[in-house]
Amino acid sequence: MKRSSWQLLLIPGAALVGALLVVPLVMLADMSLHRYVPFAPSIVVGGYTLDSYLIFFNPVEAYLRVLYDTLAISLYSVVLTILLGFSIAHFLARTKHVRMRKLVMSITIASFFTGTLVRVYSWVIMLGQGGVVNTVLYALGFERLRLIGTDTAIILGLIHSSLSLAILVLVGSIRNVDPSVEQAAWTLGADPITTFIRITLPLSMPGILAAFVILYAWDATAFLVPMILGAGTHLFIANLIYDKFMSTTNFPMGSAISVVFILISLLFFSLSSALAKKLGRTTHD
Amino acid sequence: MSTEKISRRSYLKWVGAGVAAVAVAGTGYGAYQYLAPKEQVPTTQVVPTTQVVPTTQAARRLTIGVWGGTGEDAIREINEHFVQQYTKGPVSTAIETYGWSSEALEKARASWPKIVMDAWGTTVPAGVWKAMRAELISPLTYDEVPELRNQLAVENVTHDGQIWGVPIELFVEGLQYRKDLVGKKITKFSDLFSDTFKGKKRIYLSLPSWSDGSWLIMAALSRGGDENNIDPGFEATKELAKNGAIGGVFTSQTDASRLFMSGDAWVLGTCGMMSPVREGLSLDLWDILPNREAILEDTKGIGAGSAYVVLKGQNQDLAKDWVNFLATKDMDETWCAPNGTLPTNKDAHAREDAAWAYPTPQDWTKKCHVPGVEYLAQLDAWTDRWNREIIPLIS
Repeated sequence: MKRSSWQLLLIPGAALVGALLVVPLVMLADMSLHRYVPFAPSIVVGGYTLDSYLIFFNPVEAYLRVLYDTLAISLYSVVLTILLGFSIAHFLARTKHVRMRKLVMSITIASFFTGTLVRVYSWVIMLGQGGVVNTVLYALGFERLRLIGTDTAIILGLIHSSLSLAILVLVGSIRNVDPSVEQAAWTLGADPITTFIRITLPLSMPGILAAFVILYAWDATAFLVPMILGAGTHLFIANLIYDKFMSTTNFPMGSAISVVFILISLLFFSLSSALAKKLGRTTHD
Repeated sequence: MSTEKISRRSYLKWVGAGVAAVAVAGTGYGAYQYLAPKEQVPTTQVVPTTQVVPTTQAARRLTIGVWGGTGEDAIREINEHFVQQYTKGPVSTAIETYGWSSEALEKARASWPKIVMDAWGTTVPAGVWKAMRAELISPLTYDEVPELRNQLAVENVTHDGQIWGVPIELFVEGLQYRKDLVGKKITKFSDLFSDTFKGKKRIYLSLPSWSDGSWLIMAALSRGGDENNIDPGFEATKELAKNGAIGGVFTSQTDASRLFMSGDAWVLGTCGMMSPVREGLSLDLWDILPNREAILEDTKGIGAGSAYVVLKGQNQDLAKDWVNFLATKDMDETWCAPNGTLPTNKDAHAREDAAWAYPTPQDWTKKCHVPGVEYLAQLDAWTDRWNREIIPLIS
């Protein structure tokens, strides 16, 4: 039996997935090149034009600022998520306390299956005017703070929604670091901090980079977190796209924003892949 | 066939490929089932002679679109009554829910010509106008929907000389505020610029794209503008933002309710008063302007409402019977009671504990401004301008 015979069974699936991915993207790109006619009967009307892209890249308009906010806030939250997630993942990978490891892993996985809406509203309960934080502050004699509608609330919401994913991605890469290499470093007189900085961290870097890419995609496409915890003070790209498609039926503009964001994401992914390959070679050298 | 033993890896590859193929086939079959037109299955009726006689009349299925939450509960109850009382033949009903009325329109548009909802609820006047522009809904006549003769605000669903929906409720998008937190009475729009609110970030506004610009229109009215001259509205909003009075925006009734009930928002502008009534918030704690007794001295509330529209499709005659039934006194009250809105049926009454919040029909135009629909073509530009000029001031 030929080795590639079984692959024939995958052709229908691959074709379907390809069609479902490629065809909508082509339609999206086509839609973005049409002229916007307010509340027209048909989704695609008006002749071909680059108007939507010209408006998007016009520095007077808000689109570039929203793009910057999306990328910047996501960057802060991803960095913090990885810092927090790495410590928990390191504990899970290295601890000899089996029960504790199982408990933490169970909590991580259970949290992962909690819906985003539930998590967002849990932060609303925490940070709201009558929430836990403000209740404690008021009890201690301080004034209640306005926490919903701030960058901090959005970043906290993003960290919460992606932390479980970060832990699950990072724990694998830390486990792949041979403990005997760390032991060899200790034997040669390195303290734990030096061992971590010079051995564990560099060897975990491919996993950290993979986590970074996945989490950045996760956070940058967030919709509910900025909408509810941000109280509309910081729009993300996803909020903008939703507005254009659902509220003002400006399908060309919504499509143009989507196309630009997809291209930026592809560029980001390519750079990350190149960096990952370089790190892989450096690690093995 | 080879007599070699199959390796575990090879076995797993075949199993995986087989599962993928079955999954694809299943997906295709499911898609076919969803997309293919459904045939009516004839029912049979057992007659007293014990002879089973197939009838020629199948149960027609009517799908009603509705906002989730209390709206869904109300429509379920209304549907039960409709099925029991409908005399033109057997009928069954189903419900399709959505969050915004815009979602309903886009659902209908995306699935066209497949009908996912025979009738759906939407906002007045903007939602009805948008559905009309999308060429998805059927105009209504007094002969087809006799209850229209007994409804208020039919002019708000009339465009190009035709009636495009059945109004079912009215409400005012006004200034809703927490008396206990603001600490004083608000009587005019310009009170929002007082020191009470400066730097506090406690005024939350409805996003223009969500509320069809009602806040901007109210703000414009306070400074001599309206929906066709919106610049004063933007200027007023910018001034409020620079004062540090604006805390953020809300994009749903749920959001508005949460902000208001929790005390994060001292003032909601503009919002219908539904949630405090629904949540049973004490009248000592909140107020809405304008209302039955009070006006906003330097502007008007935005007169708004909901209506049901009928999709063009094979069930539109049944759907028109349904919306006619919905517009009757008892059913209109059933719809309006959970949220305390004002029924449009002239014989129907608002909830006793909510009637105070609305101007009388005689006072409606004195206290409320009902915008035209021509401005809606500018809504996208308003949204862009909001993102450009207002959001940076409140971030």
